[in-house]
Amino acid sequence: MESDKFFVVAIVMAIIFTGLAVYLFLLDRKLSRIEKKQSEMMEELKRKEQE
Amino acid sequence: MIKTMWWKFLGVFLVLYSIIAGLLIDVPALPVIHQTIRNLFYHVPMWFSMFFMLGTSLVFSVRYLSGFRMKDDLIASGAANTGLFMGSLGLLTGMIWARFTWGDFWTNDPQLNGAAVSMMAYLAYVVLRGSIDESAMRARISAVYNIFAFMLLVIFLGVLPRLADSSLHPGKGGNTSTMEGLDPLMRMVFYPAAIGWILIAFWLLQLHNRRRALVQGVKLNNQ
Repeated sequence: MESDKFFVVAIVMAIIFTGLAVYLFLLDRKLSRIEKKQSEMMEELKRKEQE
Repeated sequence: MIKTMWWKFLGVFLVLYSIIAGLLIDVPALPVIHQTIRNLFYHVPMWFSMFFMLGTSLVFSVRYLSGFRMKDDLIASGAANTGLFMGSLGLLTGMIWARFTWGDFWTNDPQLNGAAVSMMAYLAYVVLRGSIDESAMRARISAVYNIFAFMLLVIFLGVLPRLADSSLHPGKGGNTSTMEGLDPLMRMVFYPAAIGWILIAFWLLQLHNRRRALVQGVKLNNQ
């Protein structure tokens, strides 16, 4: 196991996957922010319509 | 954040574990497949997550038909898309493996043909949706078709390959070189890998649907 250096490949693949996961996480947070903004805008519109 | 996102972190952790442990553990020495038995940890979870996505799609199609809420239609079609994505990855990874195991990218095997037919059924779902402009009609017709497509999937991937006794695919038909007598050490990596990828697929599905809900102005109330 030591000599075939499988662990090097394992580390490389783990880094790539972690990178993708971090990207997904940031995308998730960005979406949450936009969702919040949109629902605030909707509420404001409703309030203006009632006035 | 931890309260709503814990399953996403769990999915990432399980997949990371399966990537590292899947390469490092000792695997049983089998003829023909040799070290490519490790593909079990990477190729098979693609199909598992496809099954979960298409199952989710079916559930939300049925829910749409019982309440006619556009939210359910959006989730059902998003899940079908995500399922097709995972299935394509399964097909591609399987083809690469087949090239170096059986000598060809595609062999005339019940398991492979079943996978191709059921993927076609879901591609037809996407085409069907694209061909109807009126949104309520599109939602209703595609929901009904989706039930039919899931039946095809179950028959062609779940039933027929097991009935055929000539499948070359590991774990299917007369070939029981993996799944049934799967090495206990490999199980310790395979199950976490499958669960991890299923969670990642649900994460992708959620992101996909939230983006589309924002664009279409549909409210998904769980966020």
